[in-house]
Amino acid sequence: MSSPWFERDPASLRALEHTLRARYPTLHVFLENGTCHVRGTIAVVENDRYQLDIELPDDYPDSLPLVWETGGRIPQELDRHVLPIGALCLGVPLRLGIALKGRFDIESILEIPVRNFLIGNSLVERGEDWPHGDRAHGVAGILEEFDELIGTDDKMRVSRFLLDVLQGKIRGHWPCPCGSGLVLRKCHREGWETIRKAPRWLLHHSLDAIMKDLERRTKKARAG
Amino acid sequence: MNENDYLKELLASQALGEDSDEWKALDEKAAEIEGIVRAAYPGSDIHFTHGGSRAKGTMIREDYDLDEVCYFQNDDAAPGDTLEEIYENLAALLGESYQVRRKRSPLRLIDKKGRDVHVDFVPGRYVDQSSWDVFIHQNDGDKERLKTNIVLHVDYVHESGCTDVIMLAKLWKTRNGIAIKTFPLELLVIEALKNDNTGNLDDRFRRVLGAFADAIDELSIEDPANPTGNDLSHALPDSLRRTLSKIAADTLKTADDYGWEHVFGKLQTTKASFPHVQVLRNAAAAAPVRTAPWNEEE
Repeated sequence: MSSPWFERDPASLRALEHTLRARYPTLHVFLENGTCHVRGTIAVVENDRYQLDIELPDDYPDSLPLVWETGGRIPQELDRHVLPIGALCLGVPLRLGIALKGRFDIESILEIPVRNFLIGNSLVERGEDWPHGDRAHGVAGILEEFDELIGTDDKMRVSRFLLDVLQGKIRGHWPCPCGSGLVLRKCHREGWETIRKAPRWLLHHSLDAIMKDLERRTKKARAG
Repeated sequence: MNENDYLKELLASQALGEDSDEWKALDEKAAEIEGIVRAAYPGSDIHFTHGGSRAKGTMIREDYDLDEVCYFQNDDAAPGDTLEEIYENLAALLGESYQVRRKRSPLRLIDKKGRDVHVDFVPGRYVDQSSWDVFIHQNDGDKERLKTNIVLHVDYVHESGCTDVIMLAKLWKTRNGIAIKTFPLELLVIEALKNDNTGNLDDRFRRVLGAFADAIDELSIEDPANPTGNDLSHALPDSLRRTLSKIAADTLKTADDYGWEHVFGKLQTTKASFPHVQVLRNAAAAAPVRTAPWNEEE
């Protein structure tokens, strides 16, 4: 097994500690059992502080960290976007990858999805809606993202489109997957470009989730 | 403003006076709880008093509580024969009006809507007729009962000459999410300043953090009410010592590099405990990139 990132690259660990001191003085690095955690609190606005435990992945900063709210403030419920393991579900990974341009470094994570999530939670606590909406659970939420990007939430069309993107086959004169009848470059070109530039592992993540969902539903239909 | 002046201003901004909403709310809760208990045990001679940060003079806006202490006489069997019975009977009684969370000895009271009312209710029974030391029930640990004395606890902290540093240390603990209970932290601060409590607030707070960073294992704490009888090791396990040491070292380095205002932030401009909804809405609207929460599970 390869050594964790902070052993392979001690300079990155020092940079992380420097970033925390400079920007987040109440967050601290802890190395435990070969894993790097960032723990402490951040204020999202004056008088509104959350206690966090962020587990950085082995390939930091290339993939998403796990983020726990450890102050007991956010109910451990699916509808509050908390996973069964207690970590916060900050967003659809593909959307987060696009928002963060594929780099999940601590500043980007804290300033964009974590801050958005926590400010949203503070509003939900006061009976307000999530300020930027919230995605449906599971594959439906992934498809909502594709609906925004390429104008369709149809599983077959989205999975076909993703396969073609991953294989580098799509061309601008192809029909747009939204079904408008226009060619892609004159319809959802921006969404296509955005998806094409996203990290491949995030496209695979979306595709795998959709394919598994299709298989599950097919099996269920056959059994029923 | 120099470093010491900033820390003094910071403490002033955290002060909760008798006219503060938080203080008044604690008084109302204490009276309400006392009324509930007295009504349930009309024949008992119950002694109520306050402990916690308010009694010790270490109350801060971001970390305050009231220990509402309720002691029955040594020969009073009305609330229960054993300490555990007293604890459970009082938990059941208060459970009619509050959500009750059982802690090691206290009962933490949460209102029925799930809001913390910042009150720990501590039932107990006097050891003898002198009405001085008490026994309280313990849920964990080697012993089921603990002999203690809240008056000695309060006096030990209040008369330590360290209450200003303790308040700063509490704010530091809260801001950094350190899972140490208040009483062991107070004892650690007093211990760290035991041999030298001279200098201004900046000097003394740095001395405490320096002791945490460099010599945490040399700091021992004992219960001033029962130094040999009560083992406090559970309150300061090795993992917590390492955490205190690491965060203290980080904090000192950050303070050296950037100053205390960088560590603790700008002085609070509002006395409100929670931000206004509009402040949150504005913060959400100012997000550089919008993302929406999801859930992998269906």
